[in-house]
Amino acid sequence: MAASMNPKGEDGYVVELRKIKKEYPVRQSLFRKKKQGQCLTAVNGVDLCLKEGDSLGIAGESGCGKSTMGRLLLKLTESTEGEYLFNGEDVTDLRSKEEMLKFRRQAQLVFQNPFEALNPRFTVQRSIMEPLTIHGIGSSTEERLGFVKEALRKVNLQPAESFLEKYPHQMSGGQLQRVVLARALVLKPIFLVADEPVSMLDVSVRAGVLNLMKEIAEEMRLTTVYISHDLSLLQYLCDHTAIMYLGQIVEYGKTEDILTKPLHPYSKALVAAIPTLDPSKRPEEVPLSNHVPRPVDLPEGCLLQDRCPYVGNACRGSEQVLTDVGDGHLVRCDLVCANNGNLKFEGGKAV
Amino acid sequence: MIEMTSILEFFRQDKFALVGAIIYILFILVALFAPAIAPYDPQEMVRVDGRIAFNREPEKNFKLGTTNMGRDIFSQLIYGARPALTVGFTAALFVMVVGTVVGLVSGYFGGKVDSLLMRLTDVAFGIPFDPFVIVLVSFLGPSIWNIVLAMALLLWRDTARVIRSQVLSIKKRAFVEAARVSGASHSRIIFSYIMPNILPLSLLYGSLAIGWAILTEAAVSFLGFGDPSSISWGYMLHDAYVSQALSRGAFYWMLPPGICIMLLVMAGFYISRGAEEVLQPKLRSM
Amino acid sequence: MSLLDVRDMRVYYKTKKGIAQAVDGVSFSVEPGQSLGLVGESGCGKSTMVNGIIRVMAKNAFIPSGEVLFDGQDLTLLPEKEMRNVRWRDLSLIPQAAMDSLNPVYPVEDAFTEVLTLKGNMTKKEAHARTVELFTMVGLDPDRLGNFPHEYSGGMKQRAAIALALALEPRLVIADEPVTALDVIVQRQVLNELKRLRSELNLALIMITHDISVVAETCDNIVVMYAGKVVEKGSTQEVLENPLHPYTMGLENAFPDPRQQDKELISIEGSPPDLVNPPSGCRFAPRCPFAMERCLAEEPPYEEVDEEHQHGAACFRLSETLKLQKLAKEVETWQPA
Repeated sequence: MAASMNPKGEDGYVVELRKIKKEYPVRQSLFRKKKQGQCLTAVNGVDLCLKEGDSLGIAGESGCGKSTMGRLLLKLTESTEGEYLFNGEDVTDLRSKEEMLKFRRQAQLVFQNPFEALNPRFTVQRSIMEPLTIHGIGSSTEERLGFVKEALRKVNLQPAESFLEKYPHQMSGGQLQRVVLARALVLKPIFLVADEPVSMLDVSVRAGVLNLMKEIAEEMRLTTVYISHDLSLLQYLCDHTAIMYLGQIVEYGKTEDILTKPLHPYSKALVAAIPTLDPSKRPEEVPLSNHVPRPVDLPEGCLLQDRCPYVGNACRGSEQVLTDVGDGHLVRCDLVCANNGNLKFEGGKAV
Repeated sequence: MIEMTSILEFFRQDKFALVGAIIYILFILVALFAPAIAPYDPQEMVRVDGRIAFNREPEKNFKLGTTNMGRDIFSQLIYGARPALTVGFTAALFVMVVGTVVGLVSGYFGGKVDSLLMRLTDVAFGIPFDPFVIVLVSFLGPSIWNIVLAMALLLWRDTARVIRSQVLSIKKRAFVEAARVSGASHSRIIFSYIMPNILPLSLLYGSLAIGWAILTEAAVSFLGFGDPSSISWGYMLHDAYVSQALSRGAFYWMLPPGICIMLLVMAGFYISRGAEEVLQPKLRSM
Repeated sequence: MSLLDVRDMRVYYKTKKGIAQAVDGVSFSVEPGQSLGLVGESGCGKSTMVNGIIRVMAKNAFIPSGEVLFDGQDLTLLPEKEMRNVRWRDLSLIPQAAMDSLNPVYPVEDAFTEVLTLKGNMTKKEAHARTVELFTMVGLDPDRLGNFPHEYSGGMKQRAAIALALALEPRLVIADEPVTALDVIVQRQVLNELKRLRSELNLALIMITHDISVVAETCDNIVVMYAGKVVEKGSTQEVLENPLHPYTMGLENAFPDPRQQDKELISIEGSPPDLVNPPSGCRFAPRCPFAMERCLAEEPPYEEVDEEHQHGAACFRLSETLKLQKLAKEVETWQPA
């Protein structure tokens, strides 16, 4: 099992989240007092363990908490509850500057929008050299320049020299995303998060960036997390995929399994909705209703209860637990688990 | 940073800005070489044939005539460029620096610092500008530096507000987050990432402040609170007004300083207007 | 007679660097009740072209030549005043940022009332009745009419934009990236809704999108554009199963497909040409792995190869299609020399 949800103190993980939770206080209107405990739950008790070289995809619709997950993993935002172990060390609360710098050096991010992710007033050289300067890597500018060129070569921007003096507005989206990747790699991190890395790029150049990221991750034995709303992309990048819904992981398993035989009703709906070049091959649609609960006012029990066509009384009362239905495939749905994952839905009825 | 070539390109494309720049350069040259251009000392009571030349009309020796004290108006006009530009530039510099720092700190750090600074800004907005300058100058004594001080104490408010909102939007952009992921410190993010991106805007507000400062100095001097030791255009207007030059039909005394003030302020606004267009990335990309 | 017949349409932009030939000699037609997908990457001219068709163009854009025959009437020759009447009544647009096209300070119903009373000459009462009808039609709750746009979710706003476009029963609707900003599940619902409405109202639809899978699921015909030119067109199924133009082949290669697990993603190296100084021959030639010398020098004319599916392409190597299709599936083919 490349990653598991509840490891009980096993060692050797690069990333280990334990019951991580992120809540935002909700600002009430101007004249009303803040209600006690009113908050928006973006991430709701997620466990996650990743070993060296693991690649995990996090998928879900907007507002499901996947971007907050990315920010939590990179400590761009602080969790409200839970623990975060990075490379065996507790990084939940990093007080000192040195500890934070050490973490920053090892955990890097590839941004969604390459047109925004680079300082418009920096040349490519300066953008990539910046992290080296900050961490004091390399004894001279020449040595750093060498690292910069190496990083550019790694992301296939060649000859590297011809890109050094360019400004972001002189480059195409595909090239920019490679520069962003080079900047992330120049520190030789061990953990990389990519938040919708190709969604802003033209279709014809997406594949190049995706393949490149995959190659590099394998070559550098990087632990990677890809965040995307597009499940069809994740199959090219990740061994495992987690489907998130309203801050919880509702299904986790091998990406292939999730795409070919999703078990959770929400995953089923998500997979069925992906448009495809050959519509005749599309699986039966799962009719989810549109009653998405407000994240400040989540129902008790299963979070999908108001939308799920298969909902039963059991779904409303008790909280659903992420359970292994075999082969490391985890599902947060008692209905599915009660049938060992063999539960089938047809025509809106559980069979 | 804005390179030299792009500045030239900007003036080539914006004719108004070009006119503004030419006017500015002319006034700066006049101020620098005032002693060489002006035929007389502006304070000197000029004597012709041993007698002080009071109230002369424009003639060959006195291109714009003389004052009721026998001073050469043309020479006063030339020397008047000096306080105008000094006040304009120093006040603008203070306004720019104070406004930018307040806006940056407020926008970047947010929270309590932001609340405190912005309430301070509200206070500054609540103080009526001209009366404040007059009270302060009459309290501290009439000197152009006190006028500059008065402006520095109040005029930063507009700049600070605008810079703050700009910082708030830049702060949210991905490249600032990228700097954080790289491990950049607060000061590095402020100076390398945010500052260069708001600098054009603070320059714009600085150049607007030049015009305000010159107008304020003129107004204060006209009202008689100016620095009597330096001849400024506002002082000239004041002088002409109290000596009832208009009733004698001495337009040559009133009009030239007025026109100079107008030209210089107008030139400043032409440049800022052009700069504003450059700052709008949408207009630039068209 | 076709409902819409676009003939040799050109839309150019005046820019500082010169004239950009954003749309350069595009022809296609739409029959009543038919749906057409206009596919291409950013900057290929697809949005520019539909804006040219309905004559809502940027200030620096102009139409140097071409005909847009709607019901036999050339829209490019219509005076602006008459064009305004055509715009809602006969053909309407669901704009790209439809979600933001509703005025945030007015209730959603106001947008409908305005169109229905001003363009449709209805009384307020009739307009209200019609709006309720439209809301029900696109699957929105008429109780939400009085709500403000920010109280709607993304999918609801998109439905409202569709309803608004259908207000005066146009015969042709042009949708510019109607589902791009939506989550997959909502996207699926909106596409299904469009499909249903089309068959119920016998509506013709032009859908602009960069996503060929969306076209595959919703459109009868497809037009593939590259750098302001039509490179291939025909019935959707034919074009996707039997692509003639190397660009279409490349686009399909680059597209991830959840139902084809073993498919390898291949990208097209390079980037689209500068439209101010386009290459003299085929505009795709600089990126095309199959380009010959002739392709760089001469512009290939559009040729129809399959009359039944009205399938054709602008390529000099149409006779070698089978060979190219085979080669195009190999990664090595697309690697830069």
